[in-house]
Amino acid sequence: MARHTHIPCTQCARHVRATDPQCPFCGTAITEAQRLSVASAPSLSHRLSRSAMLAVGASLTLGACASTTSGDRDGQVTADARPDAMDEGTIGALYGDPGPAPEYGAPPPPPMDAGDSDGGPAPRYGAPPAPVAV
Amino acid sequence: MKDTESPLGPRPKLLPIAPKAAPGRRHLPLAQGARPVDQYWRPLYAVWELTLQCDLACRHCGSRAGRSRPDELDTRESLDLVDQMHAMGVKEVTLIGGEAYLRKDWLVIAKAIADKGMELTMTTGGRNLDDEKARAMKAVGFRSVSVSIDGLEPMHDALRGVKGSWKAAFRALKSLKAAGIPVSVNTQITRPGLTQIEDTFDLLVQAGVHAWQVSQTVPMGRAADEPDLLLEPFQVLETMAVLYRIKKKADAARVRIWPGNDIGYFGPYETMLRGNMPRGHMSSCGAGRMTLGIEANGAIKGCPSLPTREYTGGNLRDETLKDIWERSEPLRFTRERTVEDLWGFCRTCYYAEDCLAGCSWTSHVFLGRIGNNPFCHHRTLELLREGKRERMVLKTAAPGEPFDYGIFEIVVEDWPADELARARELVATPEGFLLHTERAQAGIRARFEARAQDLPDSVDYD
Ligand code: SF4
Repeated sequence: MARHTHIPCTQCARHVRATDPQCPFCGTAITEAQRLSVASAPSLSHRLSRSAMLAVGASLTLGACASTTSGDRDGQVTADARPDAMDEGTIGALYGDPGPAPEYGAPPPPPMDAGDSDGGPAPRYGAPPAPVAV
Repeated sequence: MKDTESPLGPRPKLLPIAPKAAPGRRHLPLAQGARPVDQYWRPLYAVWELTLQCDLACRHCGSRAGRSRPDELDTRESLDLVDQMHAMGVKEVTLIGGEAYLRKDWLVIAKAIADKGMELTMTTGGRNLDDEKARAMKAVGFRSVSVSIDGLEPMHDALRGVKGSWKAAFRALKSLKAAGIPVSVNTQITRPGLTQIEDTFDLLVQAGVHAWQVSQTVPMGRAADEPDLLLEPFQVLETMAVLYRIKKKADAARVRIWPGNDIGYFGPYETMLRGNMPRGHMSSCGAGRMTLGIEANGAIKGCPSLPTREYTGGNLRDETLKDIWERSEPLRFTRERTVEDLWGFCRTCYYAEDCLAGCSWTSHVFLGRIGNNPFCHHRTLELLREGKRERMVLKTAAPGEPFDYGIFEIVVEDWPADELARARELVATPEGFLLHTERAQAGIRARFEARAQDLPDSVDYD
């Protein structure tokens, strides 16, 4: 399964493949700086709980927001998630990340230290990550 | 639906409201061995239907809940499942039903989950979730509870089929908060309920929720009997505009928006709605890769929402959870999918390789197979560019079993001239609704209010 890294277009906000020279929807050019910031984004493990994954994802997004980018980080997975037989570093790129919101589920709980009564964390604004046990 | 018709008149008479479920299928075939990819993916998030018994009678219930299944797992079997989930690396378990608290041993099972260090959450209609239950839930370790609320009071009660359900749901939120459990809400968007979602959200903010999960009603179970409850694909334009408006309020109120996998995809609001997720946008269906669905009789699926018939991989009474996860075909279907598996519009889509037609549940229960999903923002926008839109037409009714579905066909048509202009305006602004929706609203609200008067105070299925 080939997977593309996408960058939100700075003009129309649609996701554009990082390999495309320009947005196919509005024609805005994708800059080298945008491409580079996506390529250097840190990895996430699929073994995190959903609340932890979101908390980490939120901090990544917050970092990415400064350069108006966001991106694909599933090309790398942590070693503990990978059976010995797997080809180092390629499985995540092959199989992608999990879709975290089945409709019959529930939103993940807030991070442990977010308190019970303040409306909970708003990850886009940089709530602290939940305790993580990988 | 004509504007003057009730969207929720009497229930369809053809099918029983809560049929006695057939016993789970047993001794399903497994592959000889597990492949590396089957061992790579591990169930991170499990959604467990503890019982099919329910104290509501929701008209959009996908599992046609009401009566217990005839063969539900007993306490010992349930506790064994908790051990197996823990051994498999499950990190979070959401208990659902039916109504999970109607099972006598539900707190014993819940405590075992929490004691293993797995995050424990629950989704509930909250009809009979009082202070005492809430305190007991806090004591066993619930980390968050999501209450289902689908609209303002008359609409919610009419949808839930029992008078007083809306008040009970808000009472449940209060009891849970008083007990110290963070609360969230799940909302299903229906066609008649679409214009109430923003007003409803305002009430949820006042109630102090930390998160709001939103999905759309699709034709599974009892919802398959009532096509008038279903949004049309072109109404994705309205849904996304509503979510855009709500997201602004949610950010101000510090409430996390948590769109279900059936909401999207890849339109101009994708970063706003899913920018905090690992890839910064939606990813394809997670069934059988991260998500695990468990039916009360031990049937294992890759996602709780999927139809039972096609997606049950095995039964815990026959095989271990690990063997079912790794070796059953119905749980493997998302692990090696490619664009070759897509069809229709999705097959040639710009996002096809990453999206893979989005939510499998939505595709399957509308079209009888996965790989093509008309409920997509990107697709709706592309069609709008050409002056086209899609509608769903029911061809075959559902048979009347839990998690069953009917079969629909996609009709592609020109937008009516006045609606085309409105649709383009809606995309540009994004304010208001389509003309048809706006015209229908006054009548719909009035009839919901009338309908809510006739509801029973409780349900008794036996
Ligand atoms: S058209 Fe299909 S493949 Fe493309 S984004 Fe929409 S659901 Fe995904």
